[in-house]
Amino acid sequence: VDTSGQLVVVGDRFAEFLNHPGTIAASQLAGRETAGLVAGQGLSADVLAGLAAPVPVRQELTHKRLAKNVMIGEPYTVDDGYAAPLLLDERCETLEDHLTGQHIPAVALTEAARQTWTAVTEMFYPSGPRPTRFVIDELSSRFRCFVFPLPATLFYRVLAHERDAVQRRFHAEITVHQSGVDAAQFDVRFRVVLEKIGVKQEFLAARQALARSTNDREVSQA
Amino acid sequence: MLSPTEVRTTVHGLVTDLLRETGPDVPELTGTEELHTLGLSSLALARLILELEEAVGFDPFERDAVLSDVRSLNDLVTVYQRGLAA
Repeated sequence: VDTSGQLVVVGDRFAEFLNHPGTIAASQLAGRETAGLVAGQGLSADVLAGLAAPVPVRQELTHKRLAKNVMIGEPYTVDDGYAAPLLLDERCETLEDHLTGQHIPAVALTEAARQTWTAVTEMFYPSGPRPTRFVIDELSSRFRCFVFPLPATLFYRVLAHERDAVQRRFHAEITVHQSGVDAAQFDVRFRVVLEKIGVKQEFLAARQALARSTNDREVSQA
Repeated sequence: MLSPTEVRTTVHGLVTDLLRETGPDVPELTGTEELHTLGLSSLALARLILELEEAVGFDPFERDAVLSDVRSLNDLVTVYQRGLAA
C-alpha cells in the first residue's frame, strides 16, 4: 500500500484491516476532501461515485437481482481479452455473513469471476434479444495468495468459443490481479442457452429425477 | 387436429431439421433409431419438444409422459400419437 499521502477507503466491515496505517473507513469520509483517497473494497456504489472511482456495472449484465450484489465494474477490452475492476460492496451476499479476517473470502472471488464471464459475454458476445441462461459445465480455481480490500482487477480471456444448434460453448480463464500479483485464477467451461430451451430441459430433467426417485423408493421398500 | 401419420411425419421432419444443424450427414430416418445414437443431447431434445409443441399443439411431457421412457424415434412418435387420442 502506498501510504505516501494517500489513504485507501475501505468498508467498515473490514475492521481488522482498517487497523493498518494508510486506510480509512468509509464511515469516516463525511465532509472530507476526496483528494488523495483511493477506493478499496467494501464500498457502496454511492461511496464509489463520491470518490470519482469506477462504479458497478449494470446489474442485469451480471444476472443479479439486487444492486448491492454486483461485484465488478463495467468490463473493457485489453490486449488479449477483457478486464473489470473488483468492486465489492460490504453488504453483498457473500460478505454480509462471512466471519471475516482481513482478506476477501474465496467464495466472493469465485462469484466475482462468475459475474465477469457473464457480463463480458452479455456485452461482447451478445445472443440477441431473446433471454438466455448460463450453464456451468466445469469450474476449477486456484487461490495463490490472499486478496485484501484494496483495488483489484479481474482479467478475462476466452480460450475457445463455439456454437452448435442449441447453444454456445465457452472455455475461458479469469485471473484476479492485485498489487502486482495474480492472486487467484479460474478456468471455466460454460454454455449459453436460450432460456426457453433451458427451462424446458430443466423441467424434463426434474420429471425424470422424480420418476427415478419414486422407482428407487419402490425398489427399496419391496 | 393432425392424424397419426401426420404426427409421425412432423416428428421425423423436425428431428431431421435438428440433425441437419448439427452436421451435414443426416441419415434417412426409419423410426427404429435410438435417440441417443442420433446424437441428440438433452438440450437438443428440449428444443425438439418445444418445436413439436408448436407444431402439434401440446406437450405430452407436461402430462404423464417421462422422457427417460422414450428410447427410440418410434417411441417418441407413439407418445405424441397417444396424446392426440387422449
